[in-house]
Amino acid sequence: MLQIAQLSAAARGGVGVLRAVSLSVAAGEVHGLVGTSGAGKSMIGRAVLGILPDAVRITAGRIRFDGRDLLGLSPSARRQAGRDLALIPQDPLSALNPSRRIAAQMTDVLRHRLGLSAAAAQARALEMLHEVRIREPDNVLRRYPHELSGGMRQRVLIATAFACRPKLIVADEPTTALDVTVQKQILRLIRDLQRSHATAVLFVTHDLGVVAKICGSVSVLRGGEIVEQAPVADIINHPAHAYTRALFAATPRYDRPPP
Amino acid sequence: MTAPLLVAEAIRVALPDRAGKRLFRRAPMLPILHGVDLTVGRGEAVGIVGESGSGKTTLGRALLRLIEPAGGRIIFDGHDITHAPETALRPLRARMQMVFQNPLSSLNPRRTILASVAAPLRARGERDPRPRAIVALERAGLSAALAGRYPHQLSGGQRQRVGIARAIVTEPAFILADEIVSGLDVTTQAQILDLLRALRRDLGLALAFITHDLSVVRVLCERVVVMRQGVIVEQGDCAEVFAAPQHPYTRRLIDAVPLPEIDDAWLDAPEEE
Repeated sequence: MLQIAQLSAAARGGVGVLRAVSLSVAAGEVHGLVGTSGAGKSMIGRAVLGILPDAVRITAGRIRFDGRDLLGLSPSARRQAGRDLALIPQDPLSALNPSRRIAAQMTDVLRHRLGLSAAAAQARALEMLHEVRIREPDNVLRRYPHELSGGMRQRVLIATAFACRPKLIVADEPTTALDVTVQKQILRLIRDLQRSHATAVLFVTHDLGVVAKICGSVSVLRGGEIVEQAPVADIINHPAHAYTRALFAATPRYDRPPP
Repeated sequence: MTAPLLVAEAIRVALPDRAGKRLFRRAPMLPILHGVDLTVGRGEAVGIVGESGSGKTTLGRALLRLIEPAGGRIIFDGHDITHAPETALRPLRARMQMVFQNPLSSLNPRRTILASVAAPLRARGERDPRPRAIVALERAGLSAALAGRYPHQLSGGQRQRVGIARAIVTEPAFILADEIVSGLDVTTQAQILDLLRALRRDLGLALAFITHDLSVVRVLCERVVVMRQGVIVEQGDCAEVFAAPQHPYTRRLIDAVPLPEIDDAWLDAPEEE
């Protein structure tokens, strides 16, 4: 579904942001991008979505998505391809417009992306809120973002992302801002929807525990470079690169006595 | 047996509920803590864990008497500070310090880090606090060469070290740390945790460590206190609580932490309520 080949990007002044990054994600697969901040994991997701910061330019490489070369497309073709992509962001509150009701925000996206009528978009929004297991979805549609909990807001954004039936979703630290019990519910929700819709997911996280639970394969990044790439069981059970091992060593665990 | 450093008994706190405020009326009081008992021994580290809304931050603020409890008693180092006026608290403040989550918002951006670290000493009327401030910076793992820098010129980990230096400069017996490693990378987090362990060992510090992260508590604390909706649901020795939690909420909290282990059943396990 997604193939990134030798992708390099630089910030203004020639500072390397990504260095020859290659990875591929199959339909229905969850690929984890893990590393510390500044490692470039979010930049890969942004490059795929075509929302890199203004100061960052792609200097080499290719992104193939669903048979199309994303970097070679005209702006209108790029927008067309974008309909098969969606983002689940880290902070649902800043991703939602504070002054508009949930219904308006969801149906806007559905009408624009799927060309639905107002009534059909409303029905689809309701159906998706059911699917993300929100209680009283009718009521939620009438709410403003600040009236919902963090977990509810994230469910709304997940519903919106999956409602457009994308082939690939970029989930950028989607549970980092949530309480741990809510995080587990949201991880399960993303996994269930991703499986039932056979959606490919690029899952950006700094948390090796989250990687272990939801990803099928993983790229470990440092300084814009992939230092290790493998199926998740190999990364977790036999990390090959010293940097990956250092990340594990630095990760505290409640189930083990301190060193 | 010496008395514990800090004893809190049946602490109740209510805070103004801004959401319920009506024009020209005083905001109604919303109960946050419903009778919390907590003891911190000299040199002991206690982890206070809970999710948002559990009251853990409010408890911390009450322990330091940044807010006045509506009920209960707080004894610090033999002094009843429950309703003590600020004049009576002032001499004790040097012995009980705090470090906040976001050092960028708690440090004055227009002060050098040396001036920030020296400020608590200067406030006590010390004429030349600089030598001791430099010692505190070095204890916190910052070279004296950084003393003239401003907060925005430092990394997140370095800024958190400045916050720690400012807390230890008055040689406190007790430090309250509220989510101080939450925004940091695992590698930086591990370094700050190492620093705190070293400071506890070298200075005999007692620590109340407020966090949402159970795994961090295991690294740093002997004892853990689990809070939910303004009450302590369980407390005990870390090894025991994490191996055999007694309260269903503690179990649910622990089960929700994703360990870096392959466990295909983890996401499918039915949720305990």
